[in-house]
Parts: sequence; C-alpha cells; structure tokens
Amino acid sequence: MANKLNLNPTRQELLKLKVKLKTAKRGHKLLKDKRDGLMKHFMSIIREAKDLREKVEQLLGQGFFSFVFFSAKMRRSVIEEALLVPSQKVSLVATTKNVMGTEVPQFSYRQEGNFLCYDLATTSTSLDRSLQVFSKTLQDMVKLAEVEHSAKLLASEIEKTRRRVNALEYVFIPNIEETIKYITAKLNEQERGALVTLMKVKDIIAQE
Amino acid sequence: MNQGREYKIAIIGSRDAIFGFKTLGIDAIDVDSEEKAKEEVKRIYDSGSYASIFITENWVDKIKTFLDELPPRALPAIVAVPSQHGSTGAGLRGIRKIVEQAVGSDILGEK
Repeated sequence: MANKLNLNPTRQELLKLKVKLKTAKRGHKLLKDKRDGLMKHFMSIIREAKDLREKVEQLLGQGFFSFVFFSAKMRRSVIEEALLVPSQKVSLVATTKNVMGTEVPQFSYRQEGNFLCYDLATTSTSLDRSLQVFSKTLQDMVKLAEVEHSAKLLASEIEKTRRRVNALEYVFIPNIEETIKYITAKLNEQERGALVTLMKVKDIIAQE
Repeated sequence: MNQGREYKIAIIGSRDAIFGFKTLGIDAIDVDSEEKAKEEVKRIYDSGSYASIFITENWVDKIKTFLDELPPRALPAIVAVPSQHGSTGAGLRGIRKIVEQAVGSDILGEK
C-alpha cells in the first residue's frame, strides 16, 4: 500500500484511474516497440561506425604524419602560397532521415576537380603524398561523420525511451493498479457497512 | 526524407596538421588556444551552414566538456579525427561510450 496514489476512494476516481491505466499500458507497449526499433537500427550501424573509424584513423594518421613532415621542411610563406587557392571543390548535400521519430543526418558527397593546384617544383613530395591520402580518406570521413553522429543521436534517444518504458513499467502502472485495488476494497467495505446498518435498522423496526 | 541542401565541411585543429585540407575544398580553421577553439566551434555550430565538423583528437580532449554540453542536433555532426600524433583512442572511446549508453554494456569489446 505504500505506493498508492493519494486519492479519494470514490467511484469517480476509480473510473478515471481505469482509463489512465489503459492509456498507460498502451503507451508502454508503443514505447517498448519504439525502443526495440531504435535498437535494431542502432545495432546495424554501430559496427559499421566502428570499422569506419578504425580505417579512417589508420589512414589519416599516416596522412597527417607526412603533412607535418612537409610543413616542417618548407617555409611557412611557401606553404601558404602553394595552398592559397584551392582548386578542388567538395559539395555535400545533407538530408535528414526520420528513424522512429529521431532525425538522423544523411550525407551525399561529391568531389570536384583535382587538388593538384600548386607548384610541383617548389614543394616537397610529402605534400603530394599527404594530400593524396587526405583526398582518399575524405569520402570515408564524411561517411564516418554520418554514421557516428546517427549512432550518437540514436543512443541518446534509446536511453530516453528506455527510461520512459521503465518508469511506466515499474512505477506508474503498478501504482495505478495498487490504487485501483485500494479504491475497490474501500468501496466494497463501504457497501458492506451500509448493508449492515440497513439490516440493523430493519431489525430495530421489526422489534418495535 | 527532407529536402536536401548544400552544406560546408569544416576541420579544426593545429595549423600544421590541418592546412592540407584547405586544398580539398574544406574550411580549415586553425586554433591555438582553448578559448579560440571553443569560440570557433560555437560559431560553426550556430551558423547552420556546416554539415560536419572534424576536430583533431588532441583538441577534442582539450574542450571535451564544452563539446559534451552542446545541445544534440541532427546537424552538424561533430567528429573526432586523429591528429598528427596518431590516434589517441579518443574516437574509439567515444564509440564505446555511445554503445554503453544505448545498450547498457560494452558489446563491441567482446570481439
């Protein structure tokens, strides 16, 4: 009885509670389905995210490594001059997809032009090498951004939904059920009391 | 699915590391202090014209609490990439954290 709601034991409250219980049960089922759906989607992308990340980390590490070598070898003014005007363009079109009420991004990405826009005679070959790596990795990086960010958004949504499911399942619904039981018992008790009084009154009248 | 629109990509990190990305048509933003990094992230995050922000891991570690406090939105996606010092494992740790948040335990580690 510790968890029952603080309500007057009347028939009206009982009816209200019954409606509430029905809604809560329905909501619980729906939220459970939502959680399962989100989880399914999450599972399908999280492994992809992990593999992509490992790949990008390996490639990019090399790329940065040779780029740092390049920038250490060259004078800053030369670097700036060489890389001043980018000749390659990237276009990224982003849309959002709705997964069980959660918006997740979807990128489609295109590279245009060539990154070779600098003087090959004055720059070191480390630059070519690192830019090649960067250019190649960029596709994966964009994909990684999409997948990992989706996973992140889904994870927070899953957590929220799970909390709601648990709150309904272990707190809200039991509380209502308990209260319904309490009110029913109380009403029955009242009825019995009224009956006994009635019988007593009838007895007294019959004796007279 | 909503109507798509074109976005830009940004990369944030130390000057020496990220300068090369400029030639690929990405906005390379070099930062040299935590305040600057936070400022730039905030600016990009609020501008709404970027789809994803790559930040090198050494800077992610420095402004971690700041990044965690940003409100979650569909765009832009903030992603850690390894720096010139190689991977510090911050990215994979991030994925682990996501899995733990969603599933309740780290299921990727079993492999």
